[in-house]
Amino acid sequence: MSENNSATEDVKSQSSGSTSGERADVCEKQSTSRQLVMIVFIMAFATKMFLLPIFLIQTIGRDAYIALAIGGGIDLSALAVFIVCMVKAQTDFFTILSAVLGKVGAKITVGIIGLFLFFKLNIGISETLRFYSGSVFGDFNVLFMLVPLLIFFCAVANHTLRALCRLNEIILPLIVVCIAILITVVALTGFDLANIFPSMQYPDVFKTEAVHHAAWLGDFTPLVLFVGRTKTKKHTALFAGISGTVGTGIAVFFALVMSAAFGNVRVLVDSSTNLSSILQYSLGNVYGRVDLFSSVIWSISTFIESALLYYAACRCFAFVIGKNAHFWIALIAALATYLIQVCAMTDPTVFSVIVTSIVTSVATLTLTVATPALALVCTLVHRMRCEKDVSGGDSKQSGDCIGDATRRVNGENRI
Amino acid sequence: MTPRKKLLIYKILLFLFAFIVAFIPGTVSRNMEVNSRVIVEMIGIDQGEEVEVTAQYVMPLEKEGTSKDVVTVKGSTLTEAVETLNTALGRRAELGHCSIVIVGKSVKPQLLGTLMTVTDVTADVYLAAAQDKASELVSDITEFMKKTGATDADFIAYSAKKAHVATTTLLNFLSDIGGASHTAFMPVVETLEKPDGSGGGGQSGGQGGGESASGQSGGGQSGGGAEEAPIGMKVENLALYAENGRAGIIDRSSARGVAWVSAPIEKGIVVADVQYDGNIIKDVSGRLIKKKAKIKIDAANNKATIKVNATIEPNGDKFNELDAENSDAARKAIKGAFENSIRNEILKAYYDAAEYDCDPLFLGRQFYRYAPDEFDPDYSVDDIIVDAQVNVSLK
Amino acid sequence: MNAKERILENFKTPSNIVTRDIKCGKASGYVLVNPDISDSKTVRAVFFALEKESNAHLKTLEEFERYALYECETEISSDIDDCINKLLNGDTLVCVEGDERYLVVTSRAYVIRGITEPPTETVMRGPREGFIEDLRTNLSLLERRLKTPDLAIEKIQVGRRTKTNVAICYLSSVADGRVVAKIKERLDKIDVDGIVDSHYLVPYLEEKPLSLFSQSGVSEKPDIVAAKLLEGRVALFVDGSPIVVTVPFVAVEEFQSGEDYYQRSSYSTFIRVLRYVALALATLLPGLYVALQNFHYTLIPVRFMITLMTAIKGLPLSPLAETLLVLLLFEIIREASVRMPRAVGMAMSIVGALVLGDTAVNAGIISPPAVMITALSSIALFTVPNMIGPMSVLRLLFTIAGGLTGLFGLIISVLFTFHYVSSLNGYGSPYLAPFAPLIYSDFKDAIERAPFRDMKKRPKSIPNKNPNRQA
Repeated sequence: MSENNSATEDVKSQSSGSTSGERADVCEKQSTSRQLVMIVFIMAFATKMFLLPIFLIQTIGRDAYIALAIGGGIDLSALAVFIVCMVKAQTDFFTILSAVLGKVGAKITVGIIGLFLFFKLNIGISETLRFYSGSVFGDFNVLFMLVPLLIFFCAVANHTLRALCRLNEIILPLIVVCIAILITVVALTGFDLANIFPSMQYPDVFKTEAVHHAAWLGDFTPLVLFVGRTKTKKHTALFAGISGTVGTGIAVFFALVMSAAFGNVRVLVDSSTNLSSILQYSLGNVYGRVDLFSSVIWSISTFIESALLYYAACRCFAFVIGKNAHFWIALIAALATYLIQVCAMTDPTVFSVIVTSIVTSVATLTLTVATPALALVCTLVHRMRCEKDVSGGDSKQSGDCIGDATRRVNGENRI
Repeated sequence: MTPRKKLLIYKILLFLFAFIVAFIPGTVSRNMEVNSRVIVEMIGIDQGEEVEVTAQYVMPLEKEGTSKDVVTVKGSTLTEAVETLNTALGRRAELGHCSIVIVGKSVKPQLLGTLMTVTDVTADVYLAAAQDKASELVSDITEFMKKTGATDADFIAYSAKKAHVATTTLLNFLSDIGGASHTAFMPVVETLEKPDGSGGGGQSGGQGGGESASGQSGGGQSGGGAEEAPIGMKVENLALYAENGRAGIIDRSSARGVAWVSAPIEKGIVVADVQYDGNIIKDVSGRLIKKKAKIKIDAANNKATIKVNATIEPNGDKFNELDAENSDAARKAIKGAFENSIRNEILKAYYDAAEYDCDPLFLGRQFYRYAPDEFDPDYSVDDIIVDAQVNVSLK
Repeated sequence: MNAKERILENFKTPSNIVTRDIKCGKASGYVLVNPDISDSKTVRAVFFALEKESNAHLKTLEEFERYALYECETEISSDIDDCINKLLNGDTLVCVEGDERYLVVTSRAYVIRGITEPPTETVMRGPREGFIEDLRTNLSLLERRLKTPDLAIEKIQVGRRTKTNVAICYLSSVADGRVVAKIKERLDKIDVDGIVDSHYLVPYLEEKPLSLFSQSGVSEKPDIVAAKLLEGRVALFVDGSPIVVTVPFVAVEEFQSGEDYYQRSSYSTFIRVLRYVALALATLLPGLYVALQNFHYTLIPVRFMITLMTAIKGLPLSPLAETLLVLLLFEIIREASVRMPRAVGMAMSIVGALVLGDTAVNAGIISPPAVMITALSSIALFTVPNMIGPMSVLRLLFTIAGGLTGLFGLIISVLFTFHYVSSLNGYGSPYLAPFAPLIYSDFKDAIERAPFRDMKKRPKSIPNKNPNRQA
């Protein structure tokens, strides 16, 4: 019931926004509670399902799923903190940061987060491209294929967060159906999951290698944009938590299946191997490659997650620059992404080395943990200040608590 | 940004996109189309000095229908041989639709690993072993298919679960070889040639085997048989593989023993001699409805117990003769005979394989999975004490 | 310059206006009539009344109005532009010497066609009345269905030269006041020479007029417009047009047909599901076909692939070029057959189907699968007639995307399209509602067509004041 009301809220806020002659994005709340829950679900498993299990199996072997479960656990903790932020926040993340850290401090912090998101974006795109080049296409012209993808991302960055949330809302049922089919088929075809035993035979290798893959963590970092901009309800936190856990569970289940299939022959896995191979393996190719259709559909989740990362990174850069030149920022980000991806696809080894280096992993792990922690601390400090100011009657400060919508109408800090 | 400016930028981007589409090579190339491919339905691999790949390909005919043919190429490596295959066929071979790989006697498992990683052959292709040369078997199968209209390896796809044959896929095979037992298997496919004269040398069929319904040639090929298409296919024996290649071939009853434990079979025929009322009734048959097998290990005593639960529906004249429907004793006798028969097959599989130092029942793997600390990677199959407990429910 | 000349000097060809001198009592004056669009009976009655009172002592227009023309609908006006406008609309002007004012006698009458079933919205069951080109008749058709004082009909004139009458209709206790105000604001801003049809208003009413997707609904049937007003929408009637524009608009309206509500709800639901599937098939099938043939043949089961290879063997064109050619051929044939006189239509079909289709296949220029895919896609497209335009364009774009970038590009194109339509919000109604944002209660009239007794609330996706439809 409460979820249903949230959709109505979207319509209502929409109505007040657009009928009063302003652009839709000046509305304070850009996402409904349900949209947040759906976004969390997508982010929990999308990029974790393509290359990560492969890399983990290649290095760790049949314990890959345990590493993924630990990573998922770290991400879920970050999600929990973000959810608390969303419930507690009175205004958006950028305003909170500016109020607590000062303008310069906020810009530096947001700049770092933006770069992190941009890095995550490139991992996401690289995964998708490698999946398509390995499994779906015989001959993948990356120079050309990147163009439509980046046009789509630019369009996303030029529109509002609301449009992206709605896109996710409309596509998600399709992805859920495909994943349900995948899980059902994999489960019903009597796959020998006992292959994952014995577990943790080489704990030292596990520890050393698992750390190298921390670059895949931090999937929930774009949620900073939802802080203060989501219409939270009584059960939003609960549903978002469940959704994140289920999404992570799916990723771990698929990693488990992959570990069982390739645990004994880890040299055989490469970027073209993924869950679709497992499904096909279960079904047999008597029916043709029907599995690829479903794989292609669940790959849409990665497009959506990457689009959200792109959007979030562009908004961070816009905040740092202090201008709402979204089109130009999106264009520059697209050019940078194009160059990075072309290099990454031309020489995947160098890209893999960079991504799995200990420096990258430590940096990613730090940001994965630090971003939600910072968001929480700033939100709580901001909230306390606001409450104090409201009771003390400081009009300048209390303006910071509620004034973001007004500023956005004037063209400042538009998210 | 004004809408006019925005529109202008979109137009420029659109033209840019059109430019890229028109001028980047590869985007307008036609060598990716389906029409520039030849579908390969089956390949045979032999390994000697060189790698020999035999492809059974299918071509659409000018008017209607298709034609099947075979081409054999050689290369110093598998990759080279596949490239040569493209040249030999005049177009790029589409290996993604290949559904069966015939493996020659001398092929090493590593070559099959290479096959999976460097070609488009998918992990789910079924593997079958040739007695000797894969190229000859592929040619024979192709002739047989042309003659009977059978499609690509229907027999092996049928055998996967519906018959009492232990089949395997490429990934499964490689996974088994890479597992702690270091053993894998694949069914041996043989052709049935027309017997010399009218039944001379032929052995009559009807032995209860699911596949060998027709006669089995005793004398190999008759004179000029090379031009004649085989009259049938036989999938009974099982080739065992160790890490360095084919270790040996086990016979039909041992192969069935492996199928009871290590293959996900759903259908099959069980035959046993039943002792009842002082008489021995030979070849009482039953149809397998359902089976479940698991291996329990006792690491301390190095003992493995294979437990098989099977539901069997007895049928045939021999069964009716016993009037088992009305006699509990007869049913009990049949049950006991079936259990005994299955148990014997399993144990025979174990002992036969042990001769080749192979472990197709994957007992070692089980020890490794559940008692890794006590597991010795260089274990000998003979060291394990094996017992089989079979429980048959008659339907 | 007397009153008559003041009027006539505005006309390039004053001969269009018939003027007659009159002498009534002590006053002499003129009667000005536009005979083409005036009711001759009323005009004759005016003359007769004035003649009858010729001996009376009438001097002023007020006396004319009170004693001579008391049977007619009259008003006195001194606004020359207003009077010219009324004269052009068929009213009769009476003026007397020495008075600069005019007595306007309503005498409008023009030939109107009868009320017939509109060709674009034919139904097997349900009302067959359709709007016509006369605003009054159209409003009467609506008023007959909505007999409530709540029904607000606000008339304005749009077009500097055409002075077209536009009626804004809504139910004041249902429609959201902000939506009505926004529509009025937009209409007020229109500064254009003329509006000759309701479609001229559409770009002024929409937030993204350049969009491929229509953001306003159109209907020719009073029952549909009445139903839309009951859901809180606003209808715009334009004099001279049988098409009524309704806003706000959401995409699901394209999938709703008037007849859905006159059939069993279960059948209507089935038909609606079919429409969604058909539209998806229509837009994606050619793109998918080309993508599979160009890049993803491993996805095709081997038997089907062999059949396909047999069919396309030796074709000179690439799959993309071939499919685009067949699609373009189809579009040309469709456009030609819509514009052709009916008598030639049959010949057109023969030329299209036999000469172009069959012969091209036999000659080996195009393949039977491509023809079949296009035919299936086109027939499927006709299940949602309002979307033929945008979807035909999208289909071409998706085909190009599929042909050049395979499933990868096709999926991105679909995502792009969905993202774009997700961003459309006309008058506070999300275009994709109730799917995005999800509004479960509105599902009763989206994919499903629930029985009326279950539709207790008005759709939440359309802003309204009063959410309850029934107790």
